[in-house]
Amino acid sequence: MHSWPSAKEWTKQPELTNQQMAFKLHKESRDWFKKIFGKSPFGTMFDLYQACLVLGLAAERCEPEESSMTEFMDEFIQRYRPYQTTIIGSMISVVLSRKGISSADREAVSKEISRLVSGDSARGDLTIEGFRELNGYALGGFNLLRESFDSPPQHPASFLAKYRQILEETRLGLQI
Amino acid sequence: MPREEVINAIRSEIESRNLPQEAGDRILAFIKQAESSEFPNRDREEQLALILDALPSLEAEQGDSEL
Amino acid sequence: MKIELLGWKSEGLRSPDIEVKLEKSDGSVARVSLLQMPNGTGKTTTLNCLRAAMDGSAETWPEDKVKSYREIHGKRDLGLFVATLRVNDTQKIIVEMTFHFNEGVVTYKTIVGSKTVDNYSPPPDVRRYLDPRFSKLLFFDGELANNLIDGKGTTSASQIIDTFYGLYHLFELKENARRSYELYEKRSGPAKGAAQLTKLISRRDSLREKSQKLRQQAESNETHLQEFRHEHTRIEVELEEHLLKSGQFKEEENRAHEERDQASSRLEVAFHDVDLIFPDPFAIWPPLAARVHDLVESLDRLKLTEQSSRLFLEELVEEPVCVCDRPMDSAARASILKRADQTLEDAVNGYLKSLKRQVQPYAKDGPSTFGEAVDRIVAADNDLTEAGKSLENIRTRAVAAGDDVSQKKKDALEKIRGEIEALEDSVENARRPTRTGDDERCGCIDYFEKRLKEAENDLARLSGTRDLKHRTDTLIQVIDSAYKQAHSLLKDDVVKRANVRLRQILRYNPVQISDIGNSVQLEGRGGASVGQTLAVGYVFLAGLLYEGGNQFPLVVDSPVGSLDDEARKELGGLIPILVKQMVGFVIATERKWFVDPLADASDGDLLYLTHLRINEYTKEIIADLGGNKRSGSENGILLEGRDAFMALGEGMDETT
Repeated sequence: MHSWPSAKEWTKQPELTNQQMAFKLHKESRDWFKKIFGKSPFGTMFDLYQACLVLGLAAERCEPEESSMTEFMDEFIQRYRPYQTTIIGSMISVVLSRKGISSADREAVSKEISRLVSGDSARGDLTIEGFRELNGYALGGFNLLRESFDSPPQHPASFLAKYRQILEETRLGLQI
Repeated sequence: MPREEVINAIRSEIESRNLPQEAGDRILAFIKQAESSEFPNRDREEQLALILDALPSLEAEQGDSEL
Repeated sequence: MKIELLGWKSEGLRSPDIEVKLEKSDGSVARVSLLQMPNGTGKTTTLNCLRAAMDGSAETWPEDKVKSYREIHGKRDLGLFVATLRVNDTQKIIVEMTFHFNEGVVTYKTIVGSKTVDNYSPPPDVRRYLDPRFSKLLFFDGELANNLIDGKGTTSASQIIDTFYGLYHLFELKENARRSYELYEKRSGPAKGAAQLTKLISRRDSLREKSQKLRQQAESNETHLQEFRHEHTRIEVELEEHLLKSGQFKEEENRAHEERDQASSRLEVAFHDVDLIFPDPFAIWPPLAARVHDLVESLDRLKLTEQSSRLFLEELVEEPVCVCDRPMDSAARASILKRADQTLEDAVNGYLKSLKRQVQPYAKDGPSTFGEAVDRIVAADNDLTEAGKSLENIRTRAVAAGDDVSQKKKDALEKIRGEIEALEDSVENARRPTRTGDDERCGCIDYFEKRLKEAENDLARLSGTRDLKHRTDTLIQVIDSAYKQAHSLLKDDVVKRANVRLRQILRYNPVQISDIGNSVQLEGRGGASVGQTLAVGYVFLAGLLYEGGNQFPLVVDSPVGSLDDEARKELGGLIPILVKQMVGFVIATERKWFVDPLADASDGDLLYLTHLRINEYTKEIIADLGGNKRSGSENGILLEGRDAFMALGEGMDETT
């Protein structure tokens, strides 16, 4: 058999895949967190995501999705389902504020919410744009962590202590 | 049908180069189909691939086991 | 294959409306049909349409070209040109071209026997001969014969042979192969030499070796690591037992153990608490709860959380009466639909209601349970560390106060710890994912695996491309050689037959073809007479068109246009010998010296046709011309007969 593609393959169209509706983290995050990953409370990737996301929302730091991000889940895991609504609600409130949308502007608020939320709870309640925003805040949180730590975390306890400190600093506006 | 002279020429070339007869058959099949004017590009590519398939590989001709 | 042109019809075009029938009363076609059409009668239009009817090329004519075929000052939106052919004496093929002047397109209809198809669709066996490349040979002007000899035409004699015998299909195959290879090469990179291939193979092998080596090393290290850890634990236990034997530090140690255990327990509980609350963003960061509260309040104010279902509103407008009992008139409908438009999708609506419910239990400024749990973790962790240090301190004092055995064990533990750390680093480095900055000096397995995969892909691509190139080259060589062989044989045959004919025709002044290349090359002396040149040209063409029992109509525009008397005479005497059907378009000034020899040589098998546009001038002369009216219309007339043909004044070409 020949080692070159057949005529059919020369004209093959690329396949379309739907990786837009998924939770994504920076591909180096697994390596960065490796010493604490698998230990309480970071038993799953979703836990790492949560840490990054909450920090990103607190610091109001959203960064555009990069090709260096990889997806790890396409829906909320069991443990997080009871908080799916409030996690998304947190994101909505931060996005509205970031975009300067007045809370009195019914049309703009309505439009923005429709952009982010599909209401399809089996698919995470989020639209493609919603996933993009959420992942953006998670990425922002991760980058903030990397900037704040001298080296990757070694122990969950020390990590959590520093994490809490960084959170507090966002309240005081010491973080950009 | 291709002209007799064309058929003979293809066959004699195939033979003199020790190429598989199948390659000659496929070349003539291509020409025959081209003459019929109903020979869209897609079919041409497929027929061409079959011709090339029937010709011996570089490896076979060189006896190079590395490839 | 025998193809005869039986005639044509044209309506609504630039040329006058006319029907031309070339069939004689017995159904055969005349050997020679001369069609005298003065300038302005639409000769070019007719020739072009005839050709397009035969080869289907008008399907792709540009819009302005189609529109230019409309009769001048014409009002008709459609024009028609119909050509009738007969194949192998039995099968009639009618090709109808309809000119849609407004749209600028030509549509075809093909009628074969009783079957009609709404496009250009001659039977497959005939189609080959009607291909534009081939039909070009059937339509030519008097210049072509000359050009064959001097090689100045756009088509060389050699190309004509290729066209006639279908050798261009070999070129097509060659082109296909070349283009396909180039496309593949573009996607995969060019084929390189054997040296490049060897280099790649060597690199692949070296990467494979390195990767394997690192794996083996990592496995070995992991085994050793396990062994060291076991050893460490074993010695630790031995040390502890040994130390506890002496009562002095026993109590201290017990207390330290207890503190350590309690700290460990508190730590575990604290982690467990964090684990439980971690999925709750409001627990981690309470200000988020405040923000969501504010959000919900604003949604309430905007009436976005307690709105009617959009679907409900959309269905409501279908009802005859509204829920408030008012009749559903157009105003009410419009108002409800406007409201529906401003309503969020039901699913989103549902989400917002859910959000409102779920945020209720949270205070706007609640404490951070996460923060509290982290405090407890930190405290317990510190206690654990202290307890550990305390234990270590006790051991150190015990060892200092103690014997060699304890010291030796402590030293052993330290040494093993060192080994463990080194091995852990090494394994970690081997097993980690590759990162920026890694190079061939790193010990990361992933790095080498990735490089190996790249090298394997490059190798496959390169060897694939080389192989394809080899096969393509082989095919091209086969085609080139086969073409040379076939072309040479066919050409020799053409030359041989043409020379036989030439000896017959130019008995007293024979000229012979020596070879056919770009031009038809003549033997011996340089330069043949005009007459001889023409003879060679026509013999060459006729030789092709009538070879092997084939027959095709020759349609010639101005066969003797620029020739002198002698040449005209020669050609006139030559054509009927060479052809089985020729249709010549002439003007009056071409008749002299040509028609009479032509008539003699045709032995009566010559159809004289005169086609005129009917206008103020021609109306007067038509009656005087005599002849039989073969066909006519409001703006055109076709007369048959030699008398009318010869009576038409040469001055006609200066008037329209």
